[in-house]
Amino acid sequence: MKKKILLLLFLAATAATWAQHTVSGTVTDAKTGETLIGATVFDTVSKKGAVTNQHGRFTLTLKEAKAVLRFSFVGYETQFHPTDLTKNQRLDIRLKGSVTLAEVTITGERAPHVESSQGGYIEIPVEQVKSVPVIFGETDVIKVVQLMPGVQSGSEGMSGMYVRGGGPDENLFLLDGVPMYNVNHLGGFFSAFNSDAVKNISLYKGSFPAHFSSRLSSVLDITTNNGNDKEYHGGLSVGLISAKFNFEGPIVKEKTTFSLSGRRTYGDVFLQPLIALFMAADGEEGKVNAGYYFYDLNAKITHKFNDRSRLYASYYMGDDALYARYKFGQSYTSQDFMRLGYNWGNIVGSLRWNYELTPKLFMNVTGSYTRYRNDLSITEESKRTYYSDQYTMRFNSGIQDATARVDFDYAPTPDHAIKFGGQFLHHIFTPETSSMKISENDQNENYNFDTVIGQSIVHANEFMAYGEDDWRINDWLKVNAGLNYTGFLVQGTFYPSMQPRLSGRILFNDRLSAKVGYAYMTQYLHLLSNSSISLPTDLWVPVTARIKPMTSQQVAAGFFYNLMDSLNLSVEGYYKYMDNLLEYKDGASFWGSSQGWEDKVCMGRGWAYGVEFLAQKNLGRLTGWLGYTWSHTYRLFDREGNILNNGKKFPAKYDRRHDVSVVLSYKFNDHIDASLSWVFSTGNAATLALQDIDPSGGERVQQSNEWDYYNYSSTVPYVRSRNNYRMPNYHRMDVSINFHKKLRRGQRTINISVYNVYNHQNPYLVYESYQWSALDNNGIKVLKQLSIFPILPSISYTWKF
Amino acid sequence: MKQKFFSLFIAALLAATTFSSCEKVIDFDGDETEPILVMISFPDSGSPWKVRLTESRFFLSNDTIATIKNADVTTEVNGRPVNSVVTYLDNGIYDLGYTPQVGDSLTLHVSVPSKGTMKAGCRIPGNVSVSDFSCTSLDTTWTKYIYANSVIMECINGSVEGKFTLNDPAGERNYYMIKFSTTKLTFRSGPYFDNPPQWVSGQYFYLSVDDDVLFDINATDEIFDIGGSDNADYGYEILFTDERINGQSHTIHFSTNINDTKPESAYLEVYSVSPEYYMFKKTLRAARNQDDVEIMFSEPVQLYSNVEGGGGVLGGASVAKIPIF
Repeated sequence: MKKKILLLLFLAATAATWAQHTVSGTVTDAKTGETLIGATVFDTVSKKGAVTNQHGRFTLTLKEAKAVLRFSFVGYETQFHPTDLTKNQRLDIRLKGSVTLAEVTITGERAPHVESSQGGYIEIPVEQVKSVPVIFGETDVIKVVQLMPGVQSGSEGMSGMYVRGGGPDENLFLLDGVPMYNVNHLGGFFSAFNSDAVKNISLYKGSFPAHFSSRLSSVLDITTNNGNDKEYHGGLSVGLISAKFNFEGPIVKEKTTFSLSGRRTYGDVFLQPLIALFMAADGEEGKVNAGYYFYDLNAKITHKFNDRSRLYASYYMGDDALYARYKFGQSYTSQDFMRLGYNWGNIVGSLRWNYELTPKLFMNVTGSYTRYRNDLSITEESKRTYYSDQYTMRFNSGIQDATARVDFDYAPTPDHAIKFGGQFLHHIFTPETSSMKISENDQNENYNFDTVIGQSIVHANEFMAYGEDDWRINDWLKVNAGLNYTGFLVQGTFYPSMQPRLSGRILFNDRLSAKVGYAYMTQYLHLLSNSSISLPTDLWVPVTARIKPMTSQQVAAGFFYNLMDSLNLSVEGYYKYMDNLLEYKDGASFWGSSQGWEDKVCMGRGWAYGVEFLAQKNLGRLTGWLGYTWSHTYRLFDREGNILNNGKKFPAKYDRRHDVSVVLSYKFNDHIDASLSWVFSTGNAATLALQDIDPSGGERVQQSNEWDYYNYSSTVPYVRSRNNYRMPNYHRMDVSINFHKKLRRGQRTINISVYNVYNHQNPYLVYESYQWSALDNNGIKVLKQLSIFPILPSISYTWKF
Repeated sequence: MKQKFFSLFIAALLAATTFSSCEKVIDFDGDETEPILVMISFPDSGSPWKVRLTESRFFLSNDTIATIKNADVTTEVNGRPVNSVVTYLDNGIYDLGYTPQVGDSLTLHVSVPSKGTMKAGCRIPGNVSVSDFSCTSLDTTWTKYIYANSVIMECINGSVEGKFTLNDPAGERNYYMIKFSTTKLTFRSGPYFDNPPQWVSGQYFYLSVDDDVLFDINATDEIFDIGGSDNADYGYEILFTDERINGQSHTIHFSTNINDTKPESAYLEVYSVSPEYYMFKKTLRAARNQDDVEIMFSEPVQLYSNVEGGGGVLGGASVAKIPIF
C-alpha cells in the first residue's frame, strides 16, 4: 500500500512537469553577498511561489510564458523581475537591506508562517537575538530561544532547554548542519554560540520534517555567516567579562570568502592578581595560581566554483579551561606542588559541497566531524635534595562523530518541494578513560609506572534515509508527508526505527491558516547528568541491549494568522507521548563515571500537553514578541525493575503551568535603540522531604523497651512523592539600551544593560536550614531560598567597520 | 579522589556564583503540612506480631515524633479477621496477640480517632534454608574490670569469621537479610549494683560480607572511590536478593568485630524477607547514606511504603538464628 501511494505521488509530481520552465537561482544580500535563508520568491501572475533553502537557493517551475517574480525578505527591499519564460532561466538576486525594518504592505503574498505547512517552527531573526538584554551584556542565542513559547530554561541563568515537556538531552543542536554535543560554557551560564558568527536560527518543536532525526523534542538549526564577498568588514567588542571580534571579507572577490570570529573571557586575568593579593595578605605569597576562562572560535571559508557549485568549509572550536597550581610545602630542601588542569569543549568541522545537478535538482554533500571531550589532570609533585616523585592521574571522556551525508532538493513543479537523502554516522563514545602515571627518582634510581585503567570505548553506527514532499495539493491545502528510517548498531544490537512524519496546512484566506502535524521520533543517545547545571562531567552514552531507544509521538494543531503584514500570531496545542525515558533512581549520582550507569537509571513513560501562543512582530521601529505557554508534563515509571515514586505518576522536574515572555525592541532613531524583556514562569517542581518519620520499632524484639541502637530514635526525611514541592514563581525584567555613533571609520556602539532590573530574588535552590532563635536560644528549622542573580548592570563597547 | 574533586568543583562553582547570590528565609507554600500516620511492623514467623504507630512530623517543626496510643488496630490473616486481644505496650508499640506462621498473608487495619485510617498487607515468606555453617575464626578475649575486689564488668573485644550456605529456592524472587546479634544481661547485673539482672537485651553489630557475586562492586569504583555504591556488603543489616544466585546453593563468608560487655550468646540471623520489607530497609539505608553533596545533585531517596493512607511499612520475615556461642 505504501509503495502504491509513493508511486502515485511520484507520477503526480512528474506528470505536472510537462511544458513548464524553471527559474532557479540564489538570493543574496546585495551588500555582503550572504545567502538569504527563507526569502520568498513569488510569481504575481500565477500566484505560485517558493522559499529559498538553507543555501539561499530557490527553484520555481511555472507554466505561464510571462511571469513577474517578486523577491522579498524581512528587512530587505522587495524586488520585482518581469520575465518571459521560454526556457529554463537562472536568476541570482541581490536584495538591498532596508534602513529600518519598514512595515510594508505587500498585497497578495502570504506571510511565510501562514503559508508554510510546518507547525511548531519558529524563525528567530539574528538582529533580534542581538538586541535582547542578557547576563553581563553577552548576547546568547540559546537564552533568546528560551524566551519562545514551548521552550523552557532550566535553573536561572542556565542554557538548558526543555522543549514541550522533553528533557535537556532531547534537543538537536546543529551548527551548519553538524550536531554539537555541549552547547554551554561555564556550566551553562553562557552558550557556545557566538552571535556575531550566526546568520540564521530556526527552531523546530514539533511536526518535524523527515530530514531531521535522532532527538525527541527539538531541533535548533544554526547557520553561520559565509563572509562578505566584496569588502572587508569586522568588529571588536569589549564587555565586562569577555571580548570578541569578527572579521570577514573576500579572499577572491565574489568567489571566495572567509568569516572569522572569536571570543574569550578574561575573568582569570583579573582573578590572578586578586588571588595573589589575598595570599600575600595571608602570608602565603605565590602559593596559589588559579583561574578559569573559555574561548570559542568560528571560521568559515566559502568558495563559489560557478553559479551551480559552491563549497563551504566551516570550523568551530571552543574550550573551557580551569587551572590551579598550589605550592603546599616549601623549604630550602623541599618543594611540594599540586597542579590541576581541567579542559572541556567541542570541535566541529564540516565540508559541504552544493551542486545544482539540474535547475530542478539540487544536491548538498556534507562530510563532518564533531567531538566533545573533557580532560581532567591532577598532578602531585615532590622535590627533595636526593629524591623527587610525581603522581599524575588523568580522567578523560567524550564523544566523537564522523558523518557523511547527502541531501537532494527536487522541485518538479511549484506544487512539490521534494527532499530526500541519507546519512551515515559513526559514533565513538569514550565514557571514561582513566590513567595513572608515577615517576620517582631516588638518588638517580628511576622508577616509572604508566597505566590506563577503565578504558571503555564504544563504537556505534547510525544510518538514516529519508524522503519528504512538501505538496501544495490545491490553493487551500498543503501537506508535508515524509518518512525517516534510522538504524542504530551498537555492541551487536541493532535498533531499527521507521518514523512517519506528516503535517498539513489548510488555508482559510491569505492571512489565516490552520495546521496539524504528527511526528514519530527516536533517540539513541542519553546524557548522564547530575543536575540541571551543565557540568563537564555530563556524559553522552549510547543505548545498550538493556536501555532501549527513547521514542516520542507528537500531535500538534494550531491556527496561524498574519495581522497587517507585520504581526504574526499563532496559537498551537500539542500532545506528546514519550517512551523509554530515563530518570535517575533515588540517590543516584554519576560524577563523571559511566560505570554501571544502567543500574542507576529507570526507564519509563512520559506525557506532555499544552497550548502555546505567540505574537511576533519583526517589522517596524517596534519589534519583538509576546509568548505564553500553558503546559503539563508528567512521568510514570511503573514497569517491573523500573519503579519510581512507588509506581505512581509524578510531575516532571520542569513541569510548569504558565510561562510568559515579552520581548520588545524599539528603534528611536539611527543613534539610539532600546529593548526590554520580561519573563514569568511557574516555579520548578522539586523533591523535598516535607515530613520526618521515625522508622524504628516493629522489629523482632523480646522486650518493648529494647531497641537496636542503629535504628533507635533517629528520624529520617520522608518524601511522599517525587517532585512534590513547587518552588516560588520566577519573574524578571531586563533592559538594554544601545548608543550608536558613526565614526570616521566604522561605527561604535555602547551597550548598557541591566539584568533583573527590579532585583527580584528568584529561586535557584530551595533547601532546609537552621536559623538561630533568640527567643528560646535554640536553632529552628527554616526553609531557605538561594538566588544567584540580583540586579546586574553591565556595559560593553563595540566597534564595527 | 575523583568524587572529592568534583565535590570541590561543584562547591567552587556555587561559591563563584555566590559572590552575587543571596539567600533568604521563605514561607512554606504547599499542602503537605499535616502529619501523616506511620506504621512500622516487621512480623516474622514464630514471634509475636507487633506494630509501632506514630505520626510524622512536618519538616520545619522542632517537635518530637508523636506516638499513637489510642488506635483501633485490627488484623486479618489469610483474609479472615483475627479475634485476638490487642495490647498497647509503650512508645507507640502494640502487641497484636498473634504469632504469624510461614505463608500467612497478613493485613493490618489502623484507625486513629480524628486522624484517619491506614491499611497494609504482606506475606510471611517461606523458611530460609541455611546449611553448612561453620565458624572459621572465633576470637573472644574477655576482659574483667574489677572494683573493690569484685568483678563489675566483663567485656569482649574479639572477632568472628564464618561461612554458611544459603539454599535459594528456584523460580521466584527471594529477598534476604543478614544480621549479627548478641544477647546479654545488662551491665547493671554485676555485683556493683544491688539490683538483680532485669532483662536480656540484644545488640546488633556491623557485619561484613565478602561476596563478589552478591555485591558486584567493580574495581574502578574501589580504586577511585567513585560514588554509586552504598557499600551494601557492610553494615548492621546486609540486604540482597537472589538475582545472581537464583535456585542455587551459595556459600557466604562473613566477619564481624564484637566490642561489648560480656554477651550471653551471639547469633547470626539469616532472614528471608518479603519484598516490602526489603524495599523499606533498602531505601532506609540509602536515605541514611545520602550525603549533603549527593542530595544537592541527585534526587532525595524516597522511603518505600506499602501503607495505604499513611507511611511506613508492613513487611514479613522468616528467620534462621544460627548460634555462634
